[in-house]
Amino acid sequence: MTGLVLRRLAALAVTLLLASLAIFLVLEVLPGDPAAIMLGTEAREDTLAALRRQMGLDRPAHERYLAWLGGALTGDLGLSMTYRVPVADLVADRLAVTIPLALLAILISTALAVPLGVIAAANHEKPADHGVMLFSQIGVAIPNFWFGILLILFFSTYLGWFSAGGFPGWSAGPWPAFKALLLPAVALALPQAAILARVTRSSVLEVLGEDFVRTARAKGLTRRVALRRHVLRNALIPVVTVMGMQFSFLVAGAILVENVFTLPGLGRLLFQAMSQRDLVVIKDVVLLFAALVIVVNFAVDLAYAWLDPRLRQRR
Amino acid sequence: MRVLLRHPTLLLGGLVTALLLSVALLSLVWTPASPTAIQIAQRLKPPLEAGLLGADHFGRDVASLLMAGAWNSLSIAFVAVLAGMIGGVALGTLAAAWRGWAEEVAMRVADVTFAFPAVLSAIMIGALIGPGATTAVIAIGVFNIPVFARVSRGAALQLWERDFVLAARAAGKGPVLITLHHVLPNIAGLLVVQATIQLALAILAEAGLSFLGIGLPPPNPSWGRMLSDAQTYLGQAPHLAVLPGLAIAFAVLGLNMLGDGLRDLIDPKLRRKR
Repeated sequence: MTGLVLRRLAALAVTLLLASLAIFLVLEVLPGDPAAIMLGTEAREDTLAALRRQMGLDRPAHERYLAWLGGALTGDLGLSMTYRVPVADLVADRLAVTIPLALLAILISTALAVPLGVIAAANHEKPADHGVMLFSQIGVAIPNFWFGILLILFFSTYLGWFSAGGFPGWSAGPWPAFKALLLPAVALALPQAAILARVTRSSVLEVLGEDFVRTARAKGLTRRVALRRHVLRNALIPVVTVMGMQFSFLVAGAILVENVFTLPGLGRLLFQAMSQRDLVVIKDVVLLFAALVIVVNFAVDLAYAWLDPRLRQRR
Repeated sequence: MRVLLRHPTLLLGGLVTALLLSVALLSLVWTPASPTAIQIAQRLKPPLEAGLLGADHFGRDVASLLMAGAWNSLSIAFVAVLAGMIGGVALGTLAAAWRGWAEEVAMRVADVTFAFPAVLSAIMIGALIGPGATTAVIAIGVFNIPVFARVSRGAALQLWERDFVLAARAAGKGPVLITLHHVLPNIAGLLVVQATIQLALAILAEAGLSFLGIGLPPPNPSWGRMLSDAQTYLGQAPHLAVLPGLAIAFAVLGLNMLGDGLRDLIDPKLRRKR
């Protein structure tokens, strides 16, 4: 197990390094003069020179890359051109919206998908199964940002139960903040739930066919008890893996849904930074998102190996 | 024909996809009205009061916009998936052919690209070269590379154990030739299935990008931007927020069903589980 962890850790480090290198190359080396991109064609020469100096563009690329990496590791992410504040402070503020949003979405999608998948598998080829599969097919096909718009249309425009977007901040108390995050989280959760329900179903079906389940049933356990005691624990391993693999879709979805609901989260910050061509903010936030995806996948990989002893032997 | 009747998913998915494709192609030669013609008098009119599906905030015909949007969405998705497939399959099959450090490098590249969902790369590229079809194609294409790399590597590794590949090796064929002559033809079916499903995902991604304004710039009609425009007029013209979303869902549903159906056809063993 230790060898496996070390090997995976090394792979994790290499992947993170390559990802940061790719971001750096795309945003700082490929464009030639990032300062010119940030300020546009009408910039004056002295403003350009000032920005180049501030961004350290007079130094060679490899030095800048190492400085950026060092800064990222110590929490110093540079200064945003548009906001004139440290990017680290911006990111910290926005994470207070994006992390609760993502967690709420994961919670909703799991609470919805796992029971649905188990019900479908327990009623294989019966109407309940077909119903869940239909839900899954449709849920996967609905773009989360459109679902968000439909939720606004129904719950804010017609019923007036929720505001159409925005975020009161955590200082307004937990309830108003939660209320502002609920519809976006539901929008984000739907496609996830659709996929997870399908994975849960096929995983439960697979375990139901295993010998140890047949033995349990032969011992006289009812289907329900066998399902609860023997099947679920084993069936949920692939579900956790797929949840990890879906994490990059959750990140992409958060960028879109935050824009539908004008939530001041990390995704909206990134989108605004693109509109303002604030390459410093883009570079840092893209790195953060990509690193998040990589680390989550690594953690899931490891959890998978830990849960399934057969995998510890293999590579 | 009997095959189609035995696989209702394949039939239904095929029909929906064929309909989508015909509408997209038809839009190149005919739409009920010009999708760019502005008629302020028709502004925000509901379906049937102005054209079949109503008019948008510029008084443009929604049916025509949806038709032209179908072409834009499909063509961007198609080019992006094709590019990602070529890159990913090259990476995956060569990783399987050479093994060792080449495989390690190829799979690490796949891991890295997997960390960049289309929206993330599109924002980086969009900040550099602005919005447009190129930005969308690169961003969606990059995210397709690791998917095809993993699928083709897995399938190719199995083929490399088979006797006919061993025979080809014994006959002196190199890894590249074996990949071209023996591996690729045998994984082509699998790749078509995966491409169909990736096409559905690419349509979703394209819609998301144009919703954010990183896709095709106006006045090119696009489903995603129609939705982002519609948000301003939710109370006055809800049809504008509903119809483009239905078009996206319909297209994605059709392609997904087609992909599932094709998979069942190729590998009946998988049927029970799905």
